[in-house]
Amino acid sequence: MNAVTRGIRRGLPFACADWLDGVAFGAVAAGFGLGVVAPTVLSATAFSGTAQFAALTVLGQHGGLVSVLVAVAALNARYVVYGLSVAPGLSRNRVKRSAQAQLLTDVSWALSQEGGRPDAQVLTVVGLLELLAWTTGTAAGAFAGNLVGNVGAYGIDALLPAFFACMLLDRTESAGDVGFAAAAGCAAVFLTPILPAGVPLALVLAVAVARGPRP
Amino acid sequence: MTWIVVAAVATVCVALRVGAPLLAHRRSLPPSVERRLQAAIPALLATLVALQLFGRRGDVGIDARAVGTLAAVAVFLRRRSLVLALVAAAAVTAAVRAFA
Repeated sequence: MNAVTRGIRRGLPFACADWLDGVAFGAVAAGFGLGVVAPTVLSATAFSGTAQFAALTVLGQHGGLVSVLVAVAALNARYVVYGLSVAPGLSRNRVKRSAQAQLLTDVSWALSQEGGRPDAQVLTVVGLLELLAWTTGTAAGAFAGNLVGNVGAYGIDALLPAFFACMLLDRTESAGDVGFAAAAGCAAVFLTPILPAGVPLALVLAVAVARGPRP
Repeated sequence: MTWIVVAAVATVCVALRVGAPLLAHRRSLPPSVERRLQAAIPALLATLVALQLFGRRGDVGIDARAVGTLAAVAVFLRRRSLVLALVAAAAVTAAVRAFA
């Protein structure tokens, strides 16, 4: 079985899930009044669910642009690590190399590592499938969301906090993490009426980075 | 504003993906900075959840979305499926709104 077939076989279930996640993102973005084009362009270029949902919070007046960009950078800092680990397997041509790196996702990275040495073909096939699914899903969701109009009636406005909550469950391992995360959330809520928009999130980020990893 | 946010977020995401492989021979993020950023993520995500649910000025209280989010958490803990969890969030939120 060659790398392309293997990539399609292994990547397809994830692409299906990405398509549905894309629909959810598009619908939420439409609920923020962004239309169809802006969310679709964002999906095609940023290609990162967490980052894009975080971007919606700025547009929803919950945060300033700078603090959200720092949050996006923190949420996606893992791509630097992924990029370094696949670098030896990528094309020597700088343009091709950049295009392959742009297709890095949690899934395409993990699948490309299976053979021991990073497999650029598997990375490309899986990443392309996911990019296609995520972008077309977003367009479909945004289109449907605009048709539906009032997203509140279908509970679509709950997708944003629910998405972040699931990502949080995926990321917390120790009880100390849970306690600190809960405290950070509470602090941000209580600071929101007092401080300008975006400052509570930036403060949490600064304190959390200063706290550093716990053993 | 929309397009500024789109461009800025896209730029950060592309830079993080493409930067390291292009400059692989140079230094990237120091490991200690990388570890600190990773360690900050749970607090960051918790804050995003909290601000989404309770961050509206002068409007602190439980609403239908909080119930929907709890439903998503319950589904995700049992099934580890993001799609199922999101469907549960929307369905429960809509149901609470319809019947409350």
